[in-house]
Amino acid sequence: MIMRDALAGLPVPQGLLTALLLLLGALVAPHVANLSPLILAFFYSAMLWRLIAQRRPEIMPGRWLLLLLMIGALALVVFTTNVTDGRLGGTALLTVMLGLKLLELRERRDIHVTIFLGFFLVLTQFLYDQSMWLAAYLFGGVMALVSIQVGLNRINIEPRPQIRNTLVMIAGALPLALVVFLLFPRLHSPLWGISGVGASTGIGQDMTLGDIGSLSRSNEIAFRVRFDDKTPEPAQRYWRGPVLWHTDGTRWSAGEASAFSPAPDVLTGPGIDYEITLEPSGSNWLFGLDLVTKTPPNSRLDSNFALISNHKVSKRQVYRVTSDPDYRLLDISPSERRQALQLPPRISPRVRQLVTGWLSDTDPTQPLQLVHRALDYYHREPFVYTLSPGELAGDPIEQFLFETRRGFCEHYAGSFALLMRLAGIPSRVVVGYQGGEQNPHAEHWVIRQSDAHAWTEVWLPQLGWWRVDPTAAVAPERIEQGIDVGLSENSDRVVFHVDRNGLAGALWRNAAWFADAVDFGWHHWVVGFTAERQKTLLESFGLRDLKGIGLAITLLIGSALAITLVYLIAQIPRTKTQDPLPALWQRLLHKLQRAGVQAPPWHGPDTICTTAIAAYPDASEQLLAINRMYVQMRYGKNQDRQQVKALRKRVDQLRLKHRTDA
Amino acid sequence: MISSRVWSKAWPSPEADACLPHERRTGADPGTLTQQTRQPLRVLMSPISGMLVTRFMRIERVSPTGRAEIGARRIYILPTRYGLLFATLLLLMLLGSVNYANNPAHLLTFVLAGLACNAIYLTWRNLRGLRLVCKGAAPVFAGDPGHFVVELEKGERERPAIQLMFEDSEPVLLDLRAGSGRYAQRLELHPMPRGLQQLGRLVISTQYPLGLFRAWCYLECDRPILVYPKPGEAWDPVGAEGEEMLNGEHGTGNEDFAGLRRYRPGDQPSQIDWKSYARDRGLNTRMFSGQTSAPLWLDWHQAPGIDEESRLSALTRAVLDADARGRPYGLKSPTGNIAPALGPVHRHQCLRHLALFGNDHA
Repeated sequence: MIMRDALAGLPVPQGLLTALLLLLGALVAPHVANLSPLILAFFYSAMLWRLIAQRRPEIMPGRWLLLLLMIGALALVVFTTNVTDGRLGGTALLTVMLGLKLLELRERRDIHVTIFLGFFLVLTQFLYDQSMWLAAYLFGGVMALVSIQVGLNRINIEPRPQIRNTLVMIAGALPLALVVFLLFPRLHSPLWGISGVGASTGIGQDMTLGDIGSLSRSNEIAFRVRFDDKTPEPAQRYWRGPVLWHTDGTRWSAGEASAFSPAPDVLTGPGIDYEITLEPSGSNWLFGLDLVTKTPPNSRLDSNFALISNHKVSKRQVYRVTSDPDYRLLDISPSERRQALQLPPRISPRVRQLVTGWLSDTDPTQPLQLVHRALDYYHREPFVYTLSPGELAGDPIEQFLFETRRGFCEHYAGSFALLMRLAGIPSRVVVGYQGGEQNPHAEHWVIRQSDAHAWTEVWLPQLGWWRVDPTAAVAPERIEQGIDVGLSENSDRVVFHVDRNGLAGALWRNAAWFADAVDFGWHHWVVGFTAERQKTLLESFGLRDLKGIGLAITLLIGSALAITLVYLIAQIPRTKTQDPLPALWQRLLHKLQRAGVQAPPWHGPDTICTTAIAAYPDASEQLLAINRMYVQMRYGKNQDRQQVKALRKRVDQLRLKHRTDA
Repeated sequence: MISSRVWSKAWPSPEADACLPHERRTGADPGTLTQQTRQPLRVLMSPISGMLVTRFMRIERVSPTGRAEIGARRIYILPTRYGLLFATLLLLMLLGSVNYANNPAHLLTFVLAGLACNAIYLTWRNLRGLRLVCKGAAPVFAGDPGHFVVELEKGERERPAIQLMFEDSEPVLLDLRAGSGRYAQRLELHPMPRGLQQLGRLVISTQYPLGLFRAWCYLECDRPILVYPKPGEAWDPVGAEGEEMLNGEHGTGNEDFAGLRRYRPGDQPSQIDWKSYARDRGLNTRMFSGQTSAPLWLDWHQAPGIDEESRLSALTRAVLDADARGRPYGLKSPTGNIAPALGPVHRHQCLRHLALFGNDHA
């Protein structure tokens, strides 16, 4: 049987259409960061065109013009966008097509299709940015889209109840969405190729003097950590990154790859278990506490015990690591020893002289004495720990050690390692992060780019590779507190985090930490919900090794339960809303009594009305109208919300004034 | 389920009948169904579909007083083309989310899928428990569009975008607000040939809230519409002028006011003296001198026209004219006579007789 749809024939509500156009404009806006300006200009011109056509329908483009525009739009996409990148090409195409669709938006059918395209547009936003703020913004957008769709399917549009209904509808959709989200199988590898993301912040492959200093000015988050139970001491919170062996005086680099794989000697117990949520860095480095004993999947430890991922970290990544802070690395191969003693081609005689002086002072069989001697030098001389060390001309190490004495961690680590090498002690530089700050509203720690750090490891006969942080000799607070970027920026010295006084500052910090806690929750539970996390979650419910059909059945059962839950909640009879009419009548009686009109409870509406008119003849018209409406609703056949509203307005507007006799 | 076609013979209250004479099928008549249907296909299909209908189809029926409540199990629901398009969209979104292993995208897809599932329930709920009263349609003349009146009961919850239509009439849409009382909706019917016309099933449907699903329900209204013959050209029945001349009145003699008498039930509303009623003097009927004139017989054999239908048209016109003049008239036809009288009930009787001419119902 052919079912005719009367709704399809109704004219498009213009207000709804305007709202949709503006909403789509807002939903395309975050693509400013991703799409070519020309594509965006095309879309917004089309939107503006359509908005003006709301007032002047004659400017809607005809079929031939649309065809021309479409050819133009396709050419625009091809010329401005790298279409081999499926994501970017697809997004650009979707955006221009949406613009074109707006230009042929005439009937209800077109609006339906446009709303659907809007949903897809929201999805493309997530392919570029998965931050919570964007997600919240887009969620609002989806809600508005749904609410417009609801408006499209009824005749009389009432915005407020419509938005409330939409919220209820979405709330009803959430249980099912959550169940499916948790149980839907996640793939380890994509269905088709994805080109990499070129994000690159954070620690690089090598270290040139000044690198980490510039990184430290950034408050961006490098990663977040959640410790399972034990939290390590501040002095143990060294997050190991690349290890650098080779130096040319100013620059440190990894040097030759070593085939040697030393076995660490782990001294104690079960170690520290924790989970890291790493921000995209564009490199392969994962970070772990010294010393990683259990690596996450798809990663390995190199010969320097730095954690390396098999893939570039192009998007946020969550991994679990176990570390043990009590360790010994006693092994050193001859080639490593050679590398760890490598010296730059030119070394200033002044630096050599300094080391020769120390060597003559100390016992050559006790190299630790020499290490202390060197640290003492940094401590005793007026070294300054600063983000702005100034230019180093000539031999940078000599300049730094004897003249400027202003430097950041890489200056200290680099010069210290060089001094050790000159003294015949094998040494290397480790780059990574140090410290971190705990979010007071959550359990996790935040490690920012400003926590980037460089330190030194020296090899001593009985101790093996031994961590020495010369920065700690200059500025021990660095290890305990971390840097306050905002204050260090314009200051001569680095300012460390201390509890700032002042309510506003405290509130602001608190709010920022709270936002971080929510953000972490979002990343922990939504963005970083990987196949492994799913497995762990299912296992905690006793569902082990669910695959294929088992998972499908669980998914079905879970969905059925979710649907039943919503259905049962919807079936709960709502407590009857109080009849608004008696309440209104009471309000009127109250008003009359204050004005001195006697309204005993045994009087009916007509009597009360007559009494009131006798006292206030000026208000007779209003009183009669109120009486008529009340009686009609109370005793008549019909009553709807609009009428009650009208009566309420009348009662509220009723003014009872005594006639002032002139 | 509904194989025993027992029709209630309970009539609405007499005064309701006088104002809006409903026609009901007056007996288990096997011939009626095919006789009244106009589409040949349906005639062919009727035995099969009738069996299917009785066996599988879920149809709500109205009570003898025209009331019905849409039961939860009587509602059909299927996706609309937008629903199918939306499903395709969800599939594409899922593919994208899986490929890019993007969890927020997964979440968005699943929320939209949950929304669609929710829409099934909400669309179904928009119809479930809807109470309505089929008032039926007032008789019309052939060629004029009839109007079927349905009253929908308002409830605690609003029911937006309810569509009502007979299987072959224009659909109407309405937003039923929350509140109490009823909302009366007129459904315009296509012009129909004379006779007692079955209206088929009333289809009540909705796509609210998202337009992704369409829920509908069939309602067997059992309120046929009586279609009078189309009034033909005006003609003068034999004796019309003669009778009036005999009384020595002018052609418009019935305009002469002859006095008032107390209202008796059955008097025409147009002859009630409303002015005196407004002055609190009770209901009085105005008497005219023309009413005393001798009855006029409208004879089938005297009616102009070559065939049955044109005679019926002519007689219809004559009934209307005589009624307008307020002159008592009777009807003589091969299928029976109606004694002269005046008033709306009589008029309806005569017209009904003409409408059903050639039918067993007459």
